[in-house]
Amino acid sequence: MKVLNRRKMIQVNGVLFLLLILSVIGCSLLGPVPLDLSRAFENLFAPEPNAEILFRTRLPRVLLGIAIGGGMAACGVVLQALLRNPLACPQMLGVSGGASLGGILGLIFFPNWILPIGGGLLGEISWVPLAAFLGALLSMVLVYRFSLFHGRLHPYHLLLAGVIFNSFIAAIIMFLNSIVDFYQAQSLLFWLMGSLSTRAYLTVAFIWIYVLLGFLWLWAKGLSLNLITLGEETAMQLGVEIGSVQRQIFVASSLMIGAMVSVSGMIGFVGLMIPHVMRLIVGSDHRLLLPASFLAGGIFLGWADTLARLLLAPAEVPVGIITAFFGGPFFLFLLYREGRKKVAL
Amino acid sequence: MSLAIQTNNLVFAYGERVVLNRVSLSVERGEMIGIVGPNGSGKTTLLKILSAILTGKGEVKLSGRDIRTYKRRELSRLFAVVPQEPQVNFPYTVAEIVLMGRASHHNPLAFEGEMDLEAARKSMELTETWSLADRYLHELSGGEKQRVMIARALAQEPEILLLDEPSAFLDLKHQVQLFDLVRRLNRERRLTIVATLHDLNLAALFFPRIIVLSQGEIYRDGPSKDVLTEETIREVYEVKVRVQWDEAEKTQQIFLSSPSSS
Repeated sequence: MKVLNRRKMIQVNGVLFLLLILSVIGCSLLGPVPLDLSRAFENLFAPEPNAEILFRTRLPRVLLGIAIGGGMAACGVVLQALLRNPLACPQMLGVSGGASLGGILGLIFFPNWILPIGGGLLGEISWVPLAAFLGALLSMVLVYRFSLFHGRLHPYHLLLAGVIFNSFIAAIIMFLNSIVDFYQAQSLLFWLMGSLSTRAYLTVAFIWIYVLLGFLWLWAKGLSLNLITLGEETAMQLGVEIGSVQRQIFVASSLMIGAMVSVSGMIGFVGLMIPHVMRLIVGSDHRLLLPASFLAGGIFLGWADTLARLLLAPAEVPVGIITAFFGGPFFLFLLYREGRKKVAL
Repeated sequence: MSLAIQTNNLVFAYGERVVLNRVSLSVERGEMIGIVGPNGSGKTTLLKILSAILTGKGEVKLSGRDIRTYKRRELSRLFAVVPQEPQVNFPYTVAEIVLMGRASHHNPLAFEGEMDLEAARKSMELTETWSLADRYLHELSGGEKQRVMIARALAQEPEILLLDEPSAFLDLKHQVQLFDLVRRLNRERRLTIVATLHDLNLAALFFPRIIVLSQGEIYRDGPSKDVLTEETIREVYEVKVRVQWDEAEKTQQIFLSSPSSS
């Protein structure tokens, strides 16, 4: 009888964690401009080009990409379990639509407003992500209200409410896009496509706090997630306080998604594909699947973004294109090889 | 004798439609009860109320304690439910599924301990699913899946086993094997068994006490030879049958007659 135990946990997550560290180093070193490392490290805090590129351009971007890749993958895992739908992904919850609309209203109405943190010493934050996060929180409350019946979140209601809310928001965004001028429309489109470019460690820290706390919260529900995938009634009979667990999962993942989308826009595919890939590799036990997907999602998005920076350097390809273009065929390959025995549909 | 299950004037309605009406029943520890009745008579609803999925009006006591005062973790150590057909959309192995029966026994933040693995192994041996441990559930046949569901229920080490039409998707051989196993569990482990059934002959063959539900009310309750009579079946199911005593099995068996003949 093969069962999950501490040794397997440490082995799988240890290997992935090592790969993640190597990815941080590798992705930071790779870029359109070759770096002189000794100069970069000598001038850690000085205004020197090498240090500027390595520590204040590439590293924060790589760290952001890893947080978002990991967060999206983790949210994908729990949403697929919560909605008991293998097609569920973070984009489906309605939260992402709300965040997009908030961000776009921010872009249209106060594109140049900057909020200096600590008198500008700790960096500056644009109002756009703050508006986006506000939109995410509002839509989270709305979708939650529409899906809650008798203290339980209904998977189908949640799914439908999210999808329909997103279509509604998409209509508003299209409408806004059609009435603003050409330059604004261009910047809206770029924001919607998603990007990981950042120079502020404060933004990176904000995302990491949300993603890490949310991830730990969800991970603590790993066993309940296993039981929930068997159906609500079975989960109840096996000891899950279903209403409370569903609400916690929804709130934790919505907060994570809201924070991530408000900073980097909609980077698709990671949250859909990584959970499936990891399920094929490590199995369906969420106590292992969740951390493994988090680490793998971080690695995947880290490299996808590096490729996005390199492919047409010095221009950038939107990272969402890379994730879908390279992730899609890889996923189909895995599905073809492993799927016949491991995919239960 | 102590009571495992007791309901008093239990009423349940979906909106205006009353599904269960003043159902009062007592199940003693170690009893084996079959609940029969036509579609829509409230069998499944009753089972869902007894397993705390639905809450009705009136009193429901498990082991002498009001069902609403239990936490889910406590309940899942007290009783286990074998579903009609397992719904598993995700690729789990048989061992993983059976170990999920242990979820309320171990710390939710920890892995299964030696005791949990031992309980899972024993219940898999008892249901002859040990050799399937590392197979994926969705690769198994209907009969094998049903045995895995029973293995999971036994891994919970419950006092009460509830079965919801467990033989609905099984062929003759697996039906007989299933109820033979359930009867053995009842006799050897004093496990209290409550099952809903469609097949009256299986009910007569294996269940010493039978409750007939009709339109949400208990129509008859007693030993199978008193309950499964030609009149009762005609009145409740609205079909004509012949009931004959089978000397070999010391039970009565029911024969259908087609409506056009006779």
